[in-house]
Amino acid sequence: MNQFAGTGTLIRFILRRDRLRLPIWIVGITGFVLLFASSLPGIYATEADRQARADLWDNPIANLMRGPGYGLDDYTFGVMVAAEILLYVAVAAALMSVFLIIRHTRREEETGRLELIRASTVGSFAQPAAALIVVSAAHLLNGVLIATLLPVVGEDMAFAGSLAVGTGVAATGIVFAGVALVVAQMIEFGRGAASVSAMVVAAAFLIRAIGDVQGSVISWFSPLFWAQSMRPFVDERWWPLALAGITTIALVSVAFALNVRRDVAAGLVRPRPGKANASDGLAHPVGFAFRQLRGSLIGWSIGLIVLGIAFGSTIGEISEWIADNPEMAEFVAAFEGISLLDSLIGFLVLILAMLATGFAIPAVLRARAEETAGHAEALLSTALGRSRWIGSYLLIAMVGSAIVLLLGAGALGVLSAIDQNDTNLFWQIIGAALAYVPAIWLLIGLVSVFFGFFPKGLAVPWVVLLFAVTAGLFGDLLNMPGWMYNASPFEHVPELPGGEFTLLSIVVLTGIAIGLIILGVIGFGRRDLQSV
Amino acid sequence: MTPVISMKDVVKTYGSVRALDFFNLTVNPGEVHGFLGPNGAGKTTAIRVLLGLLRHDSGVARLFGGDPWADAVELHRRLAYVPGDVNLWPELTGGEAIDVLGRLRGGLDPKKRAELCERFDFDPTKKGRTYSKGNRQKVAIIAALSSDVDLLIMDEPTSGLDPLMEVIFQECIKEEQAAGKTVLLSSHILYQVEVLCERVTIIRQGQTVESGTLQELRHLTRTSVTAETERPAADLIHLPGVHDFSLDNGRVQFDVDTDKLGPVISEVAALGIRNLVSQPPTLEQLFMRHYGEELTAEELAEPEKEEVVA
Repeated sequence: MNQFAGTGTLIRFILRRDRLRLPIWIVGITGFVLLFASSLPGIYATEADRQARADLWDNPIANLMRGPGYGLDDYTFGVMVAAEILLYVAVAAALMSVFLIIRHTRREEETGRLELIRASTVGSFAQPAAALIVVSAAHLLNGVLIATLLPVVGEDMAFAGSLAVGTGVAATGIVFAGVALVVAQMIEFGRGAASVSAMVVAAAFLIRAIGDVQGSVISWFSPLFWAQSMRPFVDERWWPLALAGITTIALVSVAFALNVRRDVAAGLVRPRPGKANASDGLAHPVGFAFRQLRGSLIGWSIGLIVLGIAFGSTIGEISEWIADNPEMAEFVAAFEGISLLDSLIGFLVLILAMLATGFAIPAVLRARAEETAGHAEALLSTALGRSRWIGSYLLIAMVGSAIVLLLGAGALGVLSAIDQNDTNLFWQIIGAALAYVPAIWLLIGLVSVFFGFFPKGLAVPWVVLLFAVTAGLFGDLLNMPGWMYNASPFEHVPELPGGEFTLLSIVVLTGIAIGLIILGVIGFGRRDLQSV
Repeated sequence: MTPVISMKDVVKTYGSVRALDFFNLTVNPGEVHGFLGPNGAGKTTAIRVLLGLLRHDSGVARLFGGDPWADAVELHRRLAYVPGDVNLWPELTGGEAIDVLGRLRGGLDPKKRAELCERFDFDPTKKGRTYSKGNRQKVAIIAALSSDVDLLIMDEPTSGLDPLMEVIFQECIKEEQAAGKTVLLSSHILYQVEVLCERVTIIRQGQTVESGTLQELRHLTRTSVTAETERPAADLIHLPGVHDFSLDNGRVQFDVDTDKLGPVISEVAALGIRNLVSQPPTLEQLFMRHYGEELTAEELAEPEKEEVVA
């Protein structure tokens, strides 16, 4: 057991370093579940209200976005929690694992800090074991809080169902801690390891999306399905927890087996000699920034194309459903104000646009990482001006996010057009996607302003995006008031296809976005460079 | 003759911390200027102000007669900078990093680059992450030396280089000087400054404590004298300019202010010299005289970083 020597000390060390980060994750996830559960009785006062909501969501779109929807025929508040938000709470738990595990394993190795730790009386498994134990304990605490507090704050929520929700979320988180631990052994850089792990989460989301729409066994291959598969508040079953346990043990064993076989700081691929000379493009600021963001751009492009294809391939299922349930389709369409298919496509394009923002924000933040690492100091002491330097990252974020979005929308458009035998639909989808570009740029502008004036507050744009995603996914469910909607830039985009195209809002959004971007560049030109 | 670098009463504060406190520095064309000071004295801050990376609060800073903040890009075409702690991009090779830095500066001489790689025994095909500290330092040195510029600003450039490489570095700097270039060399390695620099500026706690040629500064320092005399030397202790006097078995040892050396040695000679050893002041002593008894705990702790910039 010498390989675990020092684990206890490292656990205390991680707790000390993350004394703010861990509570934020736990309070954020538990708080969201409890807030949601406690607000439901106010919005859906009668059983008829709840049943209307259930009918609205008894279709393939809901299966795609929210899960299998067990217990829709008796839509109690507990079932609402399980059917409408449990999937996303599980995703949040998975991402919590990814970021925390990579932070305490590969990131520590990459910076050379682990070398310092491993040179003392610390075993080779101590660091990954400590990270795994802390993250798993945080997930268990999360689960206990949800299980005990849900019956208190919610109405008619039995303890068994609450326990299923709590343990389901915790188990999902722990499984993905195992996934991240394996990835951390293979990928040399922390940034890359986090991206690859996040891609596994995204793939798991897609696998269950396909499975849930088809109602097939495919869903079982995704750990993100397992929490909902426990059927909380319907007829709880507990054996998916064993599935999660076995999967975690297998993943952790693989991670430790890889760990003993490799050198500290090494990945699976041995470093090879590279080019002795820089290409011409690399010596240009835009080319240099592109080189740094290339991998991320390719990754997000592939991700959104795959998602567009997955979304597009469900269009057929949905139009079949509309044909089989004409009255229901009409009812839903009347609720939304536009045709069901249009409303669905608009929603899917919104999802793609929010994901494209997930490329844009880190693309600009890369400049901040370059600054604090001291790389910017070397570049800016050459004849490269500050505006051109930061402008390169902003340019790639703007153009790159538009490309990523159009690729995803293009894939969705091609499949939809083929399915509906309607070329026009392709162009409608492209148009709907283009309408979201100014909203993405607005968030880039926000990052730019924070970078230029308040670089310590660069978490704020993420919070705005998180809020926009919440408003987009759950706003109607929570009956969110108009002023709250208005805080999300994505809600100022004309609802296309089907809605009215308003040039003014696009022009205004673009104007504000470019104004903010320029303001940020000016701010950066006036402040001290901050490096270590 | 316009100085290449001129800083007059420059103040730079970080919150309540004064990194530069009415700091003065003048570097003339064609000279290799030593910039000395203990850790945390403000050397790197002064250099970052000159590079337009930091904006000073008051005072005047001039680079080639221009404003280092407002005219940064134009001025940077004429200089190359070697930081004390070179951070490389982990995903780029050393050769790519040299090219990027050189070309962004306005181009580099491929022949000189190849020659320098050879001289410094540097492999440009390895990825940034895999280089040792000394090899990372070589990237910045090679990039700077293969650019055609008028001024080299070097912030403890040889930290991490082995003694052999340091000799090569010194040769390179002498060649640059012969070619008429101006060099600002910050260091706390004193013998390096002694070998290369004709003028030095000493900074402590953000203030210029001394500036001049080594010759001028030596007048301010003391020479160590050890002698054996035929007659007892006890009376020497009363001579003006004599310090730290000790007498042991006919062997006398003391330090003497360099400008009083002549009269004191005459007195020693009058006692009948059997043996005399006199050591010229070194920059170590120069340093010791400024910081000797009053080194603060902070300076003794030798923090790695020059300033704390959050």
